Amino acid sequence: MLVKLSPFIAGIAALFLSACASQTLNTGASLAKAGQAAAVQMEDSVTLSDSTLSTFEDALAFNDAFNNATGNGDSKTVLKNLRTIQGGLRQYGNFLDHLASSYASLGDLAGYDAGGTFKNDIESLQTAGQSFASAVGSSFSIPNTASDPIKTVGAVIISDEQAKDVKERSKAIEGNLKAVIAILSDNRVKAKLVPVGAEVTGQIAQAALVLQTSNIYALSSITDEFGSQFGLKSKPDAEDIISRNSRIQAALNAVVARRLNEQINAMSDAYDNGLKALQALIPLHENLQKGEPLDLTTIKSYLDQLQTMMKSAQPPKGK
Amino acid sequence: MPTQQDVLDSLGAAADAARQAYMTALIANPGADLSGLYALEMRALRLWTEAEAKALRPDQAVAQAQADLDAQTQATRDALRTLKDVAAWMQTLTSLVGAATQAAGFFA
Repeated sequence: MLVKLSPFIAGIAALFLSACASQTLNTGASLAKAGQAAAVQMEDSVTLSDSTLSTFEDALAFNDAFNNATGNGDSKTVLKNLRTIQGGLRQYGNFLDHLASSYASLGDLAGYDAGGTFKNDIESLQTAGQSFASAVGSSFSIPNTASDPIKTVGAVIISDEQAKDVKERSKAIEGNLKAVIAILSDNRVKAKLVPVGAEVTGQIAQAALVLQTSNIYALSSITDEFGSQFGLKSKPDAEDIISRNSRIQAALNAVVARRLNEQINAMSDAYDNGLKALQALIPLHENLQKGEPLDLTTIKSYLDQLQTMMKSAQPPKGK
Repeated sequence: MPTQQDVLDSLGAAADAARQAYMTALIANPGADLSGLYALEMRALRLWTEAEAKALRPDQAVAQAQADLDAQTQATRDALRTLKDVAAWMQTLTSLVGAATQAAGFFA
């Protein structure tokens, strides 16, 4: 049946069908990428990584020792409980990880070049057939009128099938995404998840503040920030001047404390932003299923904000 | 009657306030001995972590959502595998048509 189609008709049909399928596959790949990024970033905001827990443990040891409380029972219990909490958070991290995997598989499905693979297979077949025929002293040819429609229409059929699969998978993932959003939107869940990051960051911030008030850190970067917009720059001996002036030092300590508190509060903002990014995926699923183009502006904006928040809120990794 | 969640919120707020108190005192009195404040802060933190650890026990809704997602991922992978199978099927059909075309050449 396929070989009876003229190349012209096949070409027209292919142009129309492949345009529809191609748009679905492209939007499917974009949605998969955005969905995976949103799920991974939300996972980062609700879980406690080993490196963060390790930094927390170091900070707690420092804070204990600085306050002559090394080995105290409360801190030991806090450490034990934090490890249990890390395990409890993992269930939320895991299901966000599985959401990311769902999007990754959607990306694989949308990104697989089924039509192209089919065309290549046909061409390989012709080449192989010609080599074989040549080797046995015979001839092998698939007339253009037969092979071109097969290549073209066959590739379109496969791409169209693939596009339908992508739409179906998108609908199913959308259902799961809504379930995930419902869980994370529950205030009781949020109330359990958000304080962990804030408390952990708080202990690390407290250690930093102790060091700050002991003149360990350079503060001229802050004085430069104030002055730079007026063309002013700290003098080379600015750090010495600051350390000798208790009023200036106290004022700069207040700036540092404000920044530390801002980062502690950012943990809550990161959760809200991550949730908004997941919610922004819903209309993208709907557009894909209707065959409409995707507007990724909103979700990209949330993801960019989230990335910035997570970078500033978490201690450096790779200890 | 406060719920378990209300109690957890209050314990979290207490731990937060205790840390804030220590940090504020530190800013106001650099170098002072704040070990008494620190002991209270650690006590508040311990109480919150105990409640939090209990509150984060496995949640059935989360386990169900994860199972649904697993099924979803598998279904998507199956779709990709089927798609690849269709391509193979088309290749077989094309080979058949190619062979038929070649065979037809003997009657030309």
